[in-house]
Amino acid sequence: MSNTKDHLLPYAKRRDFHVGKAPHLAGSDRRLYRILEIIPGLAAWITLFGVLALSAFAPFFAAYFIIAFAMYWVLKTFFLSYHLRYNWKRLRKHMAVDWAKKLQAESHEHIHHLIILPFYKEPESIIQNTVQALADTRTDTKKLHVVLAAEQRAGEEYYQMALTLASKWQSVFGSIIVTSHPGDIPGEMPGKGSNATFAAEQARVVILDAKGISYTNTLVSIFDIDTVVYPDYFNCLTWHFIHAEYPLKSSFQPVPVFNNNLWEAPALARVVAMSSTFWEMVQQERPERMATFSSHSVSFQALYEVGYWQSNMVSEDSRIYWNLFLANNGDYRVVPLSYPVSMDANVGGNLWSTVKQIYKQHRRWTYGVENFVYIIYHFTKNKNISLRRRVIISLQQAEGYWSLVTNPIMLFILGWAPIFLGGHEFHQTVLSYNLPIVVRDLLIVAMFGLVISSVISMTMLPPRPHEASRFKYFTMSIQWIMVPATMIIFSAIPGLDAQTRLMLGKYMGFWVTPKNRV
Amino acid sequence: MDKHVPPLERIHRTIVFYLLLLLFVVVVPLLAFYANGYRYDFFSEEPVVTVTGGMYISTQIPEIEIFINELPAQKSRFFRRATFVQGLQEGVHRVHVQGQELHTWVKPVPVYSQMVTELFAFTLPVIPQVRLITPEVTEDGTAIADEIETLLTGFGDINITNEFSTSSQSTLGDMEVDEVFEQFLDQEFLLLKETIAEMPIITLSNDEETPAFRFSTTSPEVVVVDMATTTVTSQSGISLQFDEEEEVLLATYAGDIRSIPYYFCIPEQPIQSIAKRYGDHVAQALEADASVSTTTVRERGSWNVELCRSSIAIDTRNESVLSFNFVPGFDNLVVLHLSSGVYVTEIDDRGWQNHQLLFPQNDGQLMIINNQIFLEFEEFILELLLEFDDN
Repeated sequence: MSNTKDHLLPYAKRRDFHVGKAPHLAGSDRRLYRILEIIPGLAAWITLFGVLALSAFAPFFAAYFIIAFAMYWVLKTFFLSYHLRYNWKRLRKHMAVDWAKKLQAESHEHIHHLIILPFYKEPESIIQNTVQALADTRTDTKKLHVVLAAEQRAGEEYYQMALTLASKWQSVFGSIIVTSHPGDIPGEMPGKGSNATFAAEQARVVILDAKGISYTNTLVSIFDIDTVVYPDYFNCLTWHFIHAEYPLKSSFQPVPVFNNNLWEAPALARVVAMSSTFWEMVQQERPERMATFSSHSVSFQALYEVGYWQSNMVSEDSRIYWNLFLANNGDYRVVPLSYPVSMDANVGGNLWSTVKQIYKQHRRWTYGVENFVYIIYHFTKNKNISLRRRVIISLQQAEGYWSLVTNPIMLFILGWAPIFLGGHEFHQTVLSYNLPIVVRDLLIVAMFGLVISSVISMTMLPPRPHEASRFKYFTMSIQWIMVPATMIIFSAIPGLDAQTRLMLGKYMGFWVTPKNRV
Repeated sequence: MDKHVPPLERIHRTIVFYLLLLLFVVVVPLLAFYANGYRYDFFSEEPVVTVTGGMYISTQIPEIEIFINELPAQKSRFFRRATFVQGLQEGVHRVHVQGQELHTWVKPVPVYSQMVTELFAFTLPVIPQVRLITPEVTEDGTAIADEIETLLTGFGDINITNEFSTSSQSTLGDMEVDEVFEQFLDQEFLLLKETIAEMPIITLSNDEETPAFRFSTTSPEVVVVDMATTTVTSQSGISLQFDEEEEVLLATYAGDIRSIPYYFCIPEQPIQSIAKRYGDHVAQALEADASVSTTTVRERGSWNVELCRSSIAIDTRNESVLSFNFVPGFDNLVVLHLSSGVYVTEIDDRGWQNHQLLFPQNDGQLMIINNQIFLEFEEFILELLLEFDDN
């Protein structure tokens, strides 16, 4: 990193700008941050126990609440399905567009792409596939500059493997370098964020400055090492960059589809992976609520102005958006590309290890609640953002993290609480008998949304490999029956786990998702 | 078409959002009213909102039909052996439960607005079902029963559910003693049986009484339950007790009011209303109990107060009661050994108590072993079955 802070935006120069957790602060700021860390978990537990207590001491009120909540869930499902269907159509249209041809009418030759690929101990085959996909894009590959970002603590063999790989592709790309992130930099948390930041700074010096490439003309794409880009990705990205209203105040978000190993993955992994894809697709239709997630792109200039990704926390993919948002005093946005990048579904060596891996991955993702804390903290500091906007964003974020954890549990489990806890007088009422019937019927209606999910998922399948039987189409269509269980086991419970850890000050580190492409 | 498609317009999303919000505001109260029993009759001449109640009917077997006021019940099945019927107007409804070749269970049941009346219906086979247990069986386990059919002549239709043959038809060679028979007639029992054989039959309506006898278990696996003559208590705390003074068999509950079985309690209302809805016997019993002491009739609940009796008289059909006990697995059904036969009777006396014949006999030792009902019949033992034997 450049030793001076002159390149940073004024707000980004604050000592607490890159705060990761309460112990990074002092005094009243630390107390405030710690209180904010407690709030999400506390709210979730109060809600869950509150429903139980309400069921025991005010069962009638609890029953009405549950009926209303079930209806809310049905309508929310419809609302999100409406967004999902629209984005699905948009995605298909965008994939049919010849973006290379569209760009011919635009001045775009000045645009360069810096692709940062942090990795740890992933197999060489996965890295090879990723780099191959970059080479196969329809973009002028001389405008692509690849950084294989190795971790020193992974061992020398991985660094050497990356060097060997890089040497094979030297003639294809504009640049391909290998960086080795030291494992002993003070204040850093080992993980993708710290590695990417180190790599970005290395690339700035070795590639951009050395070749005289302008930061404002450089788009940085930070990809998971298993990310396989579609041939027109960079053309699509370039087009959106050129046409963005504020290209240097925008991040660009593709839709992550987990197609690399979908045919080989167990049904459980497929359902969870596609559910994540669908959620991102829904968000693409609500850009004012979007933050960046996983693989995404952003101008180097914007990154440089905030000192790259945070090196001291877990969910750096979303945090960078909030860094940029705050540093630009709210004048920052995400541009949804509605164009996919393909990644690996989370698969372990066997079903049990797959379950464990998915749980851990989602726990890491839902640890993104640390961003809620960061946002609210800085909203108390950055008065340059309008109060109205700060309030709206705060409420949206709070609702998002609260509902992620509580809604599935309330709906599928606590809906029965008044029946078991309500006492004899409640049990004698028609209401107590009708409660499970009404909730069941509403959930059946909500489950029709799964039919839409099933249909959409079938249209997004990659071509069937020769060794996969046709019967798999059938299993892939009915696998969505698992959604109620996956929502609880791989969304609500890991979310509650993550929020509770944050609440208790048991801060999480970065967990690297093992890549097991069969 | 090489056209970039923008995201959904915010105005469209906003309109959809508010439409759904409106739907939420309208539908949720309607659902709450519906769930509380409110019904709107669209087809009546003057549409009106009525407040209805329901019934929760548990049954002993799943393959039955339920009729309410002679019409098939519109129901929601919670489990195979329980049915919830709602949308019933307040008042007394006649419920009958029937099945193929089964006794019909009938009861008038009061329903209250927004409340669910709980009931249990049992239906035994019309033709008594028995499993024959013999001293000897063939190598393949077939019972050997000489002259059983002759012995059963005069008892009406009896269905023996297991295969049997005569000794002349059986394969000669080693014959095995039926293990159940052996359990039932262990040495100790045989000894006692000889003793008992010299005793008079215990008739509760007679002055002659003999002390109850106990059979020891032959092994830890064999649980023998006395057929009682004076008192027996179920696991749920209900006692069956013969009141010698009144010469009436009573089912009594003295446990925690919160766990009292539903049929002991009725919603608080004027005595005339109780008589009309539940029968004079219930009204009279409540009045009699209340006059005994303030604790004989207990109140339960705060906003829906119920009057709970301490005891319910079991209808013994004005016959001598030889012995009694709870039907294995049920604490709301009593097996009564009367002078005219073995019956199953419900404790729930709302309306009346249903009786169904289990076996037509008036003597022979009745015993419950390992939750099965056995009746000594000549030199054989019959296991009395509550359902059709599917084996």
